[in-house]
Amino acid sequence: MTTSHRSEDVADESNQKALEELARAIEWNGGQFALILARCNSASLQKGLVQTLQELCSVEIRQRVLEQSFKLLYGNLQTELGQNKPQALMIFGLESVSDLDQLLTAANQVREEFRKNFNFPLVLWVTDEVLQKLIRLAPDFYSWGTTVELAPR
Amino acid sequence: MTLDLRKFFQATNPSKTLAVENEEDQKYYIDFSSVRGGKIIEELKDNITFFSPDEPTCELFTGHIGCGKSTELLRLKADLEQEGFHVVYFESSQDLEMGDVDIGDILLAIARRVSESLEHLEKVKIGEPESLKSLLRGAAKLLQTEIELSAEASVPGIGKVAASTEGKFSAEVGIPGVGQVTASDKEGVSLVALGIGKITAKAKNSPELRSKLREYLEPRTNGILEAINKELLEPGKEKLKQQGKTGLVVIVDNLDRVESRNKPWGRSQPEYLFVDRGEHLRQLNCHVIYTMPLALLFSNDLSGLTNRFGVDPKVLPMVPVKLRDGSECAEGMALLRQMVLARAFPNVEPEKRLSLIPEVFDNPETLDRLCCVSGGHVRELLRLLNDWIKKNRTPPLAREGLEDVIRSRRNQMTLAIDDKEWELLRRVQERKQVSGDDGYQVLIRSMFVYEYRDSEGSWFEVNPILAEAARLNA
Repeated sequence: MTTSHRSEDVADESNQKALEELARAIEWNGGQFALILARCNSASLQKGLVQTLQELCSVEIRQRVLEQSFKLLYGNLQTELGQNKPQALMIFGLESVSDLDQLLTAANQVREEFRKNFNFPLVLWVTDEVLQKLIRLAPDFYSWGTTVELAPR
Repeated sequence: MTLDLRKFFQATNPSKTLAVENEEDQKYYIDFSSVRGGKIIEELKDNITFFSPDEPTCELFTGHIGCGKSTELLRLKADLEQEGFHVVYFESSQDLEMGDVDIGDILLAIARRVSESLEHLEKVKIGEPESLKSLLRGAAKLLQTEIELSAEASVPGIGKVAASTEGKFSAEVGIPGVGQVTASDKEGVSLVALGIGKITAKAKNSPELRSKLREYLEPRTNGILEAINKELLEPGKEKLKQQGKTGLVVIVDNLDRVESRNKPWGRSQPEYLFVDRGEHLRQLNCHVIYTMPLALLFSNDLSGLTNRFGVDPKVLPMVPVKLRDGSECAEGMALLRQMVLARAFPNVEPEKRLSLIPEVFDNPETLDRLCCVSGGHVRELLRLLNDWIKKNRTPPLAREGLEDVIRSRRNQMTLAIDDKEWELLRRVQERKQVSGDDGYQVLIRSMFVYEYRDSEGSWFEVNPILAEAARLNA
């Protein structure tokens, strides 16, 4: 019993650190594009983490959950946002997009557009499966990203 | 002098490309040419300015993802402008659908970018490009975009059309990637730019329209080339010369990103474009530099490619951290240290920066570890550094944090590697070479394997982060 408690504490502590790191990366990148990958395999964990993150972070983070039919990471987001650009944008649900391969391939091709038109940090929540595809299908885009790792308890 | 950690963090953002015309960015720029197998950018420049200022040239340029290609091309642009050339640099990924590109698309993209650029120069007015306009009219008709390619007419159906008091019409046309274009009082080249922009925007988003457009353009390739040469490039150059310019150079960046998928007839897209159709790419009557996929260098068709273009592709290699025999490359390491320190202290003289290492790192060896493990891949180095900085509230950065970052990177990379690839990686480690196997192209594209060059030619190494993986050494 004591061991499981201890590992929970360790996970809590390392997640707390990771969230502080994420908050810092978002704040410090204010006003310029940055790609940040939040690596987390547990959807149930995400929710709690996001709440803590917003408490830690002085910048307001807009959230967007992608629907299954979502197609173009740049094109669709750009249209949705219009002139109303957020200070930071966090994307959930990549793992449930049906044509993820196409989405990632397209994002890789237009990566300069993100840099030119998204002058804010973009945080993508990724599972290991999404991350693996990102490395394979969008190596250029991925090479711009830094990572924060969040471990399940 | 203390380090501003936040500024340092911003200056190491791996998504940033240095622009040499920006004064702040100039301070970050490190000239790696002495360790990059010769002065490639200088060679490209000399080929144009010294050996052939008047006769058109065509060059191919390639390198690993993130090794600094765009940065170097932008430097070349600035250098050429200094020598009096008019340089049109553009990212072709904005104009082309990289999964499905054909020669006509590339030629039209170039025509559009040149037209746009000439249009912005005052006093460069060239004659009406009649055959280009008629070609575009044909294409537009086919795509049912109602582009009226005449000087004063309105542009019905594609935007709000307003009549001004003088009774002239003007139309606001939104073209993705170009912004608002006003079609009033446009003539000649501006209309070509507008027309091509509209057509490509439509075709880019629709495979059906693309294939329709192909059917129309493909048999006319020679005509298109001739029209671009006779109606755009030649008169453009003439006018530029009258203004005291030495010539015209087009730099097509990002064309290395055309996807390697196969065309319907089974040929891979890069081989189709650069080998089978290289003949057409090199017929433009001005200086052109195309970026091409690195993988073509490992293609069985490399000799075909070299024959078509009459020149070897210029490769921007990695910065060596080790020599071929495995010993340290002192010069490469020294430049990488400078690159890191320049991002921390842009306003300090290079020699003085070294004394400031303790302000940034817990130990000089920690900085060396960072440089070494980056394998001399410029962006990878920035990414590791950026990942590491954000773990800290205050400097100096500690070794422990760096090892965390390295472990995490290795862990991510190994997620994507299968058994067969581990085997290929082991072979690279042993032989320092790769074969024509497709598997290697993927390893290079995924940055698992890096290529280095010295006077004896090239050799390959496993990405140092992966080279430390237990799995590889099992």
